[in-house]
Amino acid sequence: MLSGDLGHSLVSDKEVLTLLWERLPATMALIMYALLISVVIAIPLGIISAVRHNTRWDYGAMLIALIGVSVPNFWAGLLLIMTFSLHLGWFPSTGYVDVTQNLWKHLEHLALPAFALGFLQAGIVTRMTRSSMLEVLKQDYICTIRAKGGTEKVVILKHALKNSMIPIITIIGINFGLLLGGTVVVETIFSIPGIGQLLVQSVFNRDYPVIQGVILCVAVIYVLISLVVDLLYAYFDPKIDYNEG
Amino acid sequence: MNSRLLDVKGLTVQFHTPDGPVEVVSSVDFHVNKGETVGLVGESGCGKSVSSMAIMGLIPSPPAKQIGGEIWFQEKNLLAESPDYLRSIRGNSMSMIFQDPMSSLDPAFTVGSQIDEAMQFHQKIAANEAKERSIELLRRVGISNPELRYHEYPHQLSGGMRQRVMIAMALACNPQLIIADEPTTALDVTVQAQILDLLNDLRQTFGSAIIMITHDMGVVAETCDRVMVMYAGQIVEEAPTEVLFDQTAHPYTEGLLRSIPKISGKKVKLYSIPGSVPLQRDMPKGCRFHPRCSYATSLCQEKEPPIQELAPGHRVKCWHSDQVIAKQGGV
Repeated sequence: MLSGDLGHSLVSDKEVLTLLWERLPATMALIMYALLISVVIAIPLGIISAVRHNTRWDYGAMLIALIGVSVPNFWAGLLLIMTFSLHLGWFPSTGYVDVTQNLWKHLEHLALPAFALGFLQAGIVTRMTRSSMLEVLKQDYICTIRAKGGTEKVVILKHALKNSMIPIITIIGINFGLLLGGTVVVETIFSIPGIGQLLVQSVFNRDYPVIQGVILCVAVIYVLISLVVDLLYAYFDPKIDYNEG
Repeated sequence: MNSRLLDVKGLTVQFHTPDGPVEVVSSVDFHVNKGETVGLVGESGCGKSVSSMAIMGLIPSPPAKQIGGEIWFQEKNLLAESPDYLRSIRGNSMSMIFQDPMSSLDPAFTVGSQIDEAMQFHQKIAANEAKERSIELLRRVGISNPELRYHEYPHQLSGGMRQRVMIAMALACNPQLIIADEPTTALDVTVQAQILDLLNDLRQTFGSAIIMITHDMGVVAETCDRVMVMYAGQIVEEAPTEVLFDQTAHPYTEGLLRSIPKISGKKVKLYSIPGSVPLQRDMPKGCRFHPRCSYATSLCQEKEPPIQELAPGHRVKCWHSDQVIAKQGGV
């Protein structure tokens, strides 16, 4: 294994590495879109609820976040399929098209699963953004910026947001594991040929080398993401400087 | 009248609390002339910071507030102006230096960019021009190697240097009025003296008026032309600095002056004014200082003293100011 040879699948006799390479693009695309969706929903929502603290806006945003955190993603997935595929027919219910084949079809197929996966993450990130922003908005330097004549836009989007980012990216990094775990369920529901689905199939088939390969692959991805998060820290918090010490 | 830069009339600030409204500042009147340094002195919680925040229009709304009175600055009543107008003068013709330089600078941006910002909020100015001016300002406030410091983050600077950066930031648009809210409290004594010297110097070169908020009579003696003493949300005495020190007319001022430690002479127990500042919600009737005052009589318990003018510019809010002055003559 250390030499990079993950062995052969017991069922299909293909190399495990080849199987992973085939499956990885779909999973990575799914995760990236889910992450994008969660950030695009969560950060504005979190900012609104912090700035309009204890108003209807805040309660509304927190309700959405609560739903996001509470709804299990397999159920969210099923609901999405029922509403948007069966009733409205806007999106295909299952399947996957690679980016290289057709970008539009690719996005169309991944929209629902990415949303099902991203919604949970969005709930968590919204709450973290809100509490982090509330904390930062109480700081003296926020008052300094107002005293300099800064508009609320500058205060919130430039200064407060940058200072709130550390806990937000930390929670995104930690929950990346949740996202990876979620792909197993979501890929199965939406029949996406990613490594999550591969894992489920190989478990049913007792295909140990493949199981091992998938687990290793997931672990490597997780470590890489943690590294990216650590590197982002240095950008958001200048006190962290990896060139010194 | 024309020499008046800031004229505060009947300023009253109320906060809404779960126990009902609380009046933190009660009909305060004062003015600041162009180019002069005025001290605002008092214990913690007497309303001096709140008054200054009210002038800046920076009292946060959530602990809901009600502000009454008038604040005249550049022929406009600030309390009647729009938030946009207030923003346009804040940091521009009126700026503020805060108490704690450690927490008053944004840790995520370089000090240089934060000074640039103060200019860019109010003027159309190219980035490199702003940078040049920021570096010049850093040099003016006595920071060595300003080109290098410009690119540093607040955590790389010492407390004294950060306060200098704050001052540079306050000076960025040549304000006519600087409100310095205990600018030296968080600094150690040697740095305090440097910062006060710097403020004195800059006042002479820039010609800005300064409101120096402090509880330190030493700072007042060193920097101010005129002093206002605040107690429990009211101004109790106002006088030119020398007069205040020589002919103290209010028992509270007397107490404050007596509590300054002296290095020379015999070691004696340091004087402190008995009791503490009353809570705003159960303010004593009559004169607000009477429970802690050694001159207090039944008159003080019943009727609030009016403000009397003892000499031009020397005003006091006490029934027994003649006794207070007489006592000093005797000592």
